[in-house]
This record gives sequence, structure tokens and C-alpha cells, in this order.
Amino acid sequence: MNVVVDRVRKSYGRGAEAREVLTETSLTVRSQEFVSIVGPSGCGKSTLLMMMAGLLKPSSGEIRLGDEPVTGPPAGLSVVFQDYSRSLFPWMSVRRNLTTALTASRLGKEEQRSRVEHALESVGLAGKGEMYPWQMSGGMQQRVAIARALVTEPTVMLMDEPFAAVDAQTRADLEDLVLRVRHEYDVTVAFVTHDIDESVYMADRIVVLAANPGRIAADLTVDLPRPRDQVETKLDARFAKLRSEVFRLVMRPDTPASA
Amino acid sequence: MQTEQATVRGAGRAGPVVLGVAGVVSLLLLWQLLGALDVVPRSSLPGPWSVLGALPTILSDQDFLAGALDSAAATGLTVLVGSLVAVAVGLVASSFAFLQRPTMVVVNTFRSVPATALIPIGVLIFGLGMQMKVSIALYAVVWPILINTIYGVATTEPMRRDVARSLRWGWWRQQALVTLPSALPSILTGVRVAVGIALVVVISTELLGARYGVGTVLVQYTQASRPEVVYAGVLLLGTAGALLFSALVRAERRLVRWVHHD
Ligand SMILES: Nc1ncnc2c1ncn2[C@@H]1O[C@H](COP(=O)(O)OP(=O)(O)O)[C@@H](O)[C@H]1O
Ligand SMILES: [Mg+2]
Repeated sequence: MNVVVDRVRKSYGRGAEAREVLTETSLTVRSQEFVSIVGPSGCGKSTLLMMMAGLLKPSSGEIRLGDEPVTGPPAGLSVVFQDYSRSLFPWMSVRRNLTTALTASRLGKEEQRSRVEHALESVGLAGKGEMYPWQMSGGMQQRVAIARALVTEPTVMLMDEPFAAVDAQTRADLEDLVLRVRHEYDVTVAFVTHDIDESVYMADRIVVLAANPGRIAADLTVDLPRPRDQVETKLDARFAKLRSEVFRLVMRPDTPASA
Repeated sequence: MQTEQATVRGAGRAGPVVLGVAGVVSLLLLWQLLGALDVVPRSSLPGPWSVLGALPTILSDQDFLAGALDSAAATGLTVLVGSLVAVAVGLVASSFAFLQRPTMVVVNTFRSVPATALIPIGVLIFGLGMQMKVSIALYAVVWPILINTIYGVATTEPMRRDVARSLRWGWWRQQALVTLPSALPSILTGVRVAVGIALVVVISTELLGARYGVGTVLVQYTQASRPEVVYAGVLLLGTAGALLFSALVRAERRLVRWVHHD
């Protein structure tokens, strides 16, 4: 399902205090597409994503999921938050973290159980359902967070810098995991990151945001073959070209392209 | 070398026990000395041996045992009802912005009135039975639990609230699965404090007139000039209180295991 950001603007604060964080922005994430949203810290990536998630109201403009205006968190849309340690529920076992994510879906007990087991298996955590998040490593906890997002079998998954807090090795594993489950679950993904390599490696399309005020600086198509490979893909000349282009856009968004 | 280290480590572990025993022994010596030197008259402070000797008397006194049961029931009932009411009010008051200020004003006004000052009024309204004890003690315990509930709710991680909204949970489910567990460590601290307060207030009502309870029995022994039995009773209550407290602390740790790992 398409996610449409239609002339959306966002400012925080009121009156004289008001600060525009995102100028009028339009963007469509097409069905089945994997879009990276990349930009410097504080440029409004999270703000944009939270509005797409229905967790934050735009100051003006409209978000639509398919043809439906988003006025609150919609069914069929999942969010993976930035910090797993603050987004999982430590008082619940892993299995319960996933099962409670299904309450709004109103499924039978049996269907719930098989969904949960399947999601755990997909992220490589089969048999770990009885553990508690605080008994797990950071990488495993982020897998739980991904499984929780997938268990509802969403059409759209929004991810906010999901791997910012894990080490490089784990990060590469999780990147490939997301690329795999994305196909398994047939899900449309908007993936926020401040890591330029990651934005290129993951995406079909890269939306580069610039700061002060937040706005779209560029919208680039990634013509790299799939499946991606941590070594091969990054050796590809097109990867290097995209990478440096995104780098230039992020660092100096207002200079012309052919520098 | 090996054995030496083991010995040292063993001594380290035994340290607190040794210190504790030494403390108790010196206290007993000091106690004995105070009496022997006639610093304090025997009638107000009987010697340690006569107090220990009075333990069987108090432990076989049916009134004392029934009274202890009555006091425990009053304390338990107070903490149970007080926790349910204070936690419910705290959750509701915290989830509606317009209720937050008025609630704090009410809390700060009423909690500064000492509960024991209300005992005469409690007696006038409820008489000298269980109802009076529990009402007065309830008044004393709801404030600390309410304050701790409100404080605990305020510490809820905003991202977890967003997760709950994103999972499209209703108000009840959000309270039960996110807000309440987030506030639980703080609530349990409040409940532990409340147990102490409830005990103090319940025994106070008994010393000041309630018909049944350990306090009532201790007053009777005081009037019968049996100070050693009074001291034996106080010693028992103190020990029971200490055991209860350490049990509560342990129960608390078990209930909020995640806190120590976050
Ligand atoms: N609730 C808020 N109130 C006021 N300002 C905010 C709020 N949330 C974010 N901001 C500001 O908006 C800007 C964009 O924030 P954010 O969307 O989190 O950026 P990013 O995710 O790209 O780092 C930042 O300057 C931040 O300080
Ligand atoms: Mg952010």
C-alpha cells in the first residue's frame, strides 16, 4: 500500500516560540518499495516518520495510507523504534511482547500462536520466546522489536534508526535480516538512518533530507542489483557513486550536483 | 595459598554476622549495666534476663495472640484497601492533565494532618472496633501510596507510550500493560512505606483506646505493673516488624526483576 505524504508541514511550539521543523514536504512511498530517509541529526527524520505512523499530527497537510487519511496509528502499519531498550516491555517475556502486539488484530488463540512462532523464527529467535528482553544482547533485543513489528503482518513498516545502538558486525547482520524479512512479509518499508552507507545498501530509493528547516534535498533511485551483499554490493561502482552523491547532499545540500 | 584465600573470603562473608552478634551482645551488656548501676529504675526498665524470661508468658497469653491477629488483620486490610484505592486514583489522576494540579493540592493539604490526631474523631464516628482502626490507618496510608503512584506514572518511558498507541491499545490496556508496570517499582516502595505507617497507626489506636489488639494488651500489662512482659511484647513486635520488612523487600525484588537489569 502507498504511503502518501501530501504537503505536510510541522512546527513545534506555539506563537512566537513556534519553530518550523519540516517545511512543506510531499513524498510517496510506493507499495512494496524500500525507501531510505537519510539526513543529518536534527533534520526532522523522526518527526516525519512519527507523522507517517499517526503518532504525531502534522501542522498542515495530510498523510494517507492507500486512500485513507491517517488520523491516528492505522491498522496494517508497524513501527520499529530507535532504541530497543526503551521500546520493548521488560516486564513481559519475548513471547508476550509479541502476543500483546496482536491484541488489536482480534485473532484466535491458535492463529496468534502460529504468528508469534513464525515471527520469532523469521528473525532467528526460534525457541527464545520465554526469555526476557533484559536477558538478551542488544542485537537480539532489536530482533525482538523487528519480530514484534512483523507479527501483525503489516503492509507498511516504519523504522527509525533501528541499528544506531548496535555494533558494526551486528548491524550488518540486522541489515541483511531486514532485507530478507521484507520479502518474506511483502512489506513496504520506510527506513530512517543517518548512516549514508546503510541508506544506499538497503534501499530502492533514497530520500535525502536537509536541515534548518527540514526539507527534501534529493530523491535518488538506487539501481543496485538484489539480493544485496555486504561485500559485493559495496564494491560495485554504482554503490560508490551513490554513496558519494548522498554524502555531498547531506554535508552540503545547497551546492549544485555536478561539482 | 588457596586455603588461606578461602579463609579470608569466608571471614569476609561472616563479617556482618560477627558484627551483628557483637552489637547485640554489647546492647545486652549496656542494658544490664543500666539496671545494675541504678541509672534507670527496675520498674521502668527491667533487666534483659527478666524480659527474656517473660517471653513465654506473653507468647502463651491468649489475649496477646488474639490481639496480634486483630492488629495484623487491621494492618493487612488497611494496606490492601489503601493500595487499591490509591493506585486507582493515582492512575486516573495521572492520565487526565486537568486532574493533576487539583490532585496534588488535595494530597499536600490532607497528608499534613497527622492521622493519629484524628483518632478521637475516629472513635466518635466508628467506636472502638476494627472499623475505627482501619479508617484512621487508611487515612494515613493512602497519601504515600498515591504520591508514589503519581510519581511512578510520571517516570513512564514516553517511547513505550508511543509503542502502546502504535499497537492501537485502548486506555485500559495501556494502563494495565504499560503505565502500571512502569509505575510498579515506585508503587511497591510506597506500599512498603505504607505497611510501616499502618502498623504504627493501628498500634497507636490500640494504645489510645481501641478494644482489641496487641497495643491494648500491652496497656493492660502496663497497668498491671508487669514491665518485663510489656518489654517482651515490644521485643516480639520489633522482631516481627523487621522480618516483615525484609520479606517485603525480597518480594519487591522478585516482582520487579527487570528494574535491576535496565
Ligand atoms: N517534541 C518536540 N518539541 C520541540 N522540538 C522538537 C520536538 N521533537 C523534536 N524537536 C526538534 O525538531 C528537530 C527535528 O527533530 P527530529 O525529527 O527528532 O530529528 P532527527 O530524527 O532527524 O534527528 C530537532 O531540532 C529537534 O530538536
Ligand atoms: Mg531521530
